[in-house]
Amino acid sequence: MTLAQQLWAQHRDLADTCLLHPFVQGLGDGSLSQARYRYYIAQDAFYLEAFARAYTLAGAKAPDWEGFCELHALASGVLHERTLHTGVAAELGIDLRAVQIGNATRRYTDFLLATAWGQSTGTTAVAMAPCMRLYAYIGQQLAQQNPPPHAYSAWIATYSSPEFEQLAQQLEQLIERYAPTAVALDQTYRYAMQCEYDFFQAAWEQGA
Amino acid sequence: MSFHQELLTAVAPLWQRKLAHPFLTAVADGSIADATFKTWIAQDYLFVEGSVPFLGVLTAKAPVALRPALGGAITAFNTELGLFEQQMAAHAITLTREYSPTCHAYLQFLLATAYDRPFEIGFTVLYAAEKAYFDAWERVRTSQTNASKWQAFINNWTSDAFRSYVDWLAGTLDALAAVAAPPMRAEMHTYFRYTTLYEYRFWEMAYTAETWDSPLLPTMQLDTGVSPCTPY
Repeated sequence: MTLAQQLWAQHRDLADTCLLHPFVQGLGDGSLSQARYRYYIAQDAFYLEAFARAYTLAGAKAPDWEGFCELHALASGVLHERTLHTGVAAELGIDLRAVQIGNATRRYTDFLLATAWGQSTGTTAVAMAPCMRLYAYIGQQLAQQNPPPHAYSAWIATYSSPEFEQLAQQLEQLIERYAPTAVALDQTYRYAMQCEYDFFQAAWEQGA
Repeated sequence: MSFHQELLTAVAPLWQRKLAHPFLTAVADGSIADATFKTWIAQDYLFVEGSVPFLGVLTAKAPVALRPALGGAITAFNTELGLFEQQMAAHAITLTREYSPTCHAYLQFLLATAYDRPFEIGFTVLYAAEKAYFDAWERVRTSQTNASKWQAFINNWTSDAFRSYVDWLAGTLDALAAVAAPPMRAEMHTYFRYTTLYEYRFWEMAYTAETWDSPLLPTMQLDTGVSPCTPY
C-alpha cells in the first residue's frame, strides 16, 4: 500500500462524512439550492487561487526538475478548473472580485499557504492531496448514482472524469516521492480533510 | 486620529467584547477555574512558540531599521516561553502538544500572512495581537482587588517594558501607514479585524475548553459588520 493510500484509508471516515453531507448529496441529486451553490462557487474560486499558488510554491521547492515540471502541470490543471468556475460564476451572476471570503475558506487557504511557504514539497503534497482525492471520490460516487441531468451535472462530470482522477494520482505519486519520513503527515492530511468538511458545512450554513 | 487609533475605533465593539470576556473577568475576580486557566496556559504556550517563526519571517521582510526591534521581540518571546515553563512547573501543569482548533488556525493565519502578504500587513497583525494582550491583561490588573494565583502572567503583559514595546509597535505602524497606498491601508484594516476576531476566539477557546468536535470557525458568528479578508 502506498503512503497516499494509507492516508486515504486512515481518514476515510471523514471522507465518507463529506460524501454524506447534505450539501454533497444535494449536488448529487440536483436538489441543492442555488443560493448554497452560489456561495460555494464564489468561495471555491478564491480557494482555487490559493491551491494553484500552493502548487507553484511546492514546485519552486521541488528537489528536482521532474518534480518542478509535474507541479507546474498540476498548477495548470487548477487554472483550468478556475476558468470553469469563472464561467459558472458568470452564468450565476457572481462578481468574483467582490466576494467576501468566509472564515472556513480563509482557515483552509491559510493552512495551505502556510504549509506551502513553510514546509517541504512532500508535506505540501500531503496537505493538498485530500482535496484532490476527495473530489475524485465524491465525483465518482455521485456519478455512479447516475441521476437524470440536472443543474449540477457538469460539476459531477468534471470531478468524475478520468482526467481528474489522473491529476489526483499524479499528486499522490509526488507524496510517494517527496514525503519526509520524520514529520507528522497524518495530522496534516486529516486537518486538510477536516477543512474540506467545514468548507461544505459553511456553504450549507451560509447559503441557507 | 492616528492610524492605530483608527484601527481600534473601527473594531471598537468587538474589542470591548473581547476585553469583557468572562475568562478575563474571572481571572480578575479570582473565580477562574484552575482547569480553565491551565487550558489557556497550555494553548498559549504553543501559540507563543509557534509565533516565533512568524516573527522570523516578518523580520526577514522588515526594513533594515526595524530588524533590531523585531529581533528583540523574538528574544522576548523566547523569554516568555521560559516564564510559561516556570509557571507550568510551579503549578504542576504538563505541556501537551495538542493544538486546539482555534490555536492551530490562528497560527496558520499568522504564518500565511507573514509569508504571503507584504510586511506592512504582517506588522499590523503583530500590533493587533500584542495590543490585544496588553489591553486584556491591563483590564485584569486594574480591576483585580486581590493578587491572583496567576499574577506572574498579569504582570508580564502589563509591565512598563511591554507597554513601551506596544507603544513602539503603534508608532511604527502609524509611520508605515503614513506612506502606504489606500489599498494597503484598507488591507491593514481587514487584517486588524481578523486578528481581533482570533484574539476573541482564543479566550473563548480556553473558556469553553474547545475540542476538535466543537463548532469551528465556520460558525464563528461574531463577525457581524466585520468582513473577512478580501481576495488576493
